[in-house]
Amino acid sequence: MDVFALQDRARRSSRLLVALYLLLVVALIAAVDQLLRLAIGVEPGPALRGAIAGGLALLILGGSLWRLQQLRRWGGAGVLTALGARRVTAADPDPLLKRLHNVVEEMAIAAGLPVPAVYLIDDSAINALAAGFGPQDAAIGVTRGALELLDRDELQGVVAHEFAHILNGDMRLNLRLIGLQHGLLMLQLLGRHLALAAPRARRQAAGLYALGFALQTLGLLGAIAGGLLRAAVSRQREFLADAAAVQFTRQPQGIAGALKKIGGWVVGSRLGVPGAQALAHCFIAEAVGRLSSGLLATHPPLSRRIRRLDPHWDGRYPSVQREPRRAAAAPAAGRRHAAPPAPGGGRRRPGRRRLRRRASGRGAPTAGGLARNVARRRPRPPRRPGGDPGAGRRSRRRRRRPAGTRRRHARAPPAPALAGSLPAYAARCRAGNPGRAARPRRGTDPRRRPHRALGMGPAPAR
Amino acid sequence: MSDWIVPGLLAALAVYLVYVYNHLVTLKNRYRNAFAQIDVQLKRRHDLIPNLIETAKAYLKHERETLERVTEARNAAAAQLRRAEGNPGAAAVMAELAGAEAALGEALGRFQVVVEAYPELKADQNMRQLFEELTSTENRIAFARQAYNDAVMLFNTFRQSFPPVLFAGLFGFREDAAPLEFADREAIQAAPQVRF
Repeated sequence: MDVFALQDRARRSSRLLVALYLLLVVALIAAVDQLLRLAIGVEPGPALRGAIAGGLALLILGGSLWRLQQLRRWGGAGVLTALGARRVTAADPDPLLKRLHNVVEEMAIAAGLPVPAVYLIDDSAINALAAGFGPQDAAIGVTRGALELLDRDELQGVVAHEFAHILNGDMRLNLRLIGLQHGLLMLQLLGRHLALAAPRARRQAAGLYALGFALQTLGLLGAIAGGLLRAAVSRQREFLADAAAVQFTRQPQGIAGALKKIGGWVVGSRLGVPGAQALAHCFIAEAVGRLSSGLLATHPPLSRRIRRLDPHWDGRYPSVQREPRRAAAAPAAGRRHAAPPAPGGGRRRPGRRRLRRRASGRGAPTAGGLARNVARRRPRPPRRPGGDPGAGRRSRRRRRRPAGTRRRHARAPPAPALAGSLPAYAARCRAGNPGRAARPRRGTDPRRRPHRALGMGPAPAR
Repeated sequence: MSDWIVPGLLAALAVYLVYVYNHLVTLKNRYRNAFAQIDVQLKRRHDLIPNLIETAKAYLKHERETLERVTEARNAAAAQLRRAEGNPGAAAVMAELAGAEAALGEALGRFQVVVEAYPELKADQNMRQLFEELTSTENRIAFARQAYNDAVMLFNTFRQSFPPVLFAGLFGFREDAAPLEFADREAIQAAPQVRF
């Protein structure tokens, strides 16, 4: 395997992307140019037109660079600490963690890379992620679910997949794309400011308002296009990483088996850890529930990935169950999630309701095993002090908080172990969130905001 | 105009020769480094075996022969490794090292079969850890071999291709590097015998 050729290919596609993005910027500026004439009805001179186009380009590029600068602070270890992961060393007494560390060292040899920092993400989902800007500050995180449910070969396939992401520079590419997408969103912000400023300027108020509105729409369209571009790249990169995983391990059964187990495991690959969304592309399979299929998905459908690795696959996912030893440790708590999948060949993916339940039950991750991890999803803290105990069981729509109470005060405090890291992470998310920074709108659901739906900001930090 | 053609061509040739030489050196160093990686992992296995034997001794009082064979194979392989370190890539030394390592692998395999018959030993916490280490080390050796063979292949391909093949000998790269091969090649190549 010539890893250098692989890296060259990755670099070429990155260049193509940047070209596409610049094309998008030019198209947007041209559209604004046309809009100006339509909205104000005046024909600006060439000097003014040039100045406007230059200003817009500066705005967009500046926004991109500013966001990138922010993202640079996320080193590999920093991201994983923010996710509530804990460092695993070679001297760890837990045999599962020892095995994980060994597997990472093995794959480092196979990939010809330095050994990255290894982290354990305390979550019952089967997933893993690579973070960092390059091989030197890379870190690999694996969920406890993956450690307990995958066998050695499958774990090796998963880790090899993450090594492929490191080798291909996928994390860096994706951070760049997030930055560029943010630049496009700057246009929308400008439009909003214009529209809000409109009533104060008496003359041409209507024209200005229309211009602001049109700019907002354009900026949004640009950001959506950027989001689609980013998702498309991410999906291609997954296929590339799967292929490289096979190259490193010289056998497709490992990674294919792991993907099948993700399909068969009731929790699947969806993490209950807040903040997973901005990093969705770094995981081995979909880490967040929303928009998990279609054009905005960061990963290709599991079945297609498995078929590329194993053409003779019969389309059935194995029914994955925890080891009896672990199940016995928490007989009552684990029941809901450890139940075998519904009859029908075990093909059922976790349904909307189950995912919603996961989503609503998510709290701060605690240190503990899979059993405890599943258990913590079950008892939900009351939404507000003195609230009726049934509130947690209702659907998300009905659980909207009453006017005047703020969610932040109502939720249970995070586990002490993470008190230092998570709020810091949440603060960083807020700082890097353009919608919130520009104008906090009360009463709107943050999840409904467009840049969230595009996967630009991290998931709401609760 | 024509005055420039000959010096220009000579300069281009010189640049090309420098490239060929430097690339050969790069590839050679890459496979030497890859060998050093295997070396590290083989040593790791050699260091692991005495611990394994020590732990197993308490349980395997009647299996002295198996244990002794593992120790002997380990010592032979360690000696071969020391010889190979001085001269990586030489075909004869590589073949002997591969043979010694294969013998060690075989002895370890037999040892593992024996351990299967002793449930208390298998359940021993220390033993389980050592076996995980052994599995990991075997994998590392396999991956390091894989990386070494890839590096050797890249070197050989470049050295044998035209036009570098014209200059490689001149620069002192006369021989192909030898990949590590299956020691049990004959066994693999022999057709499987099916008896009814």
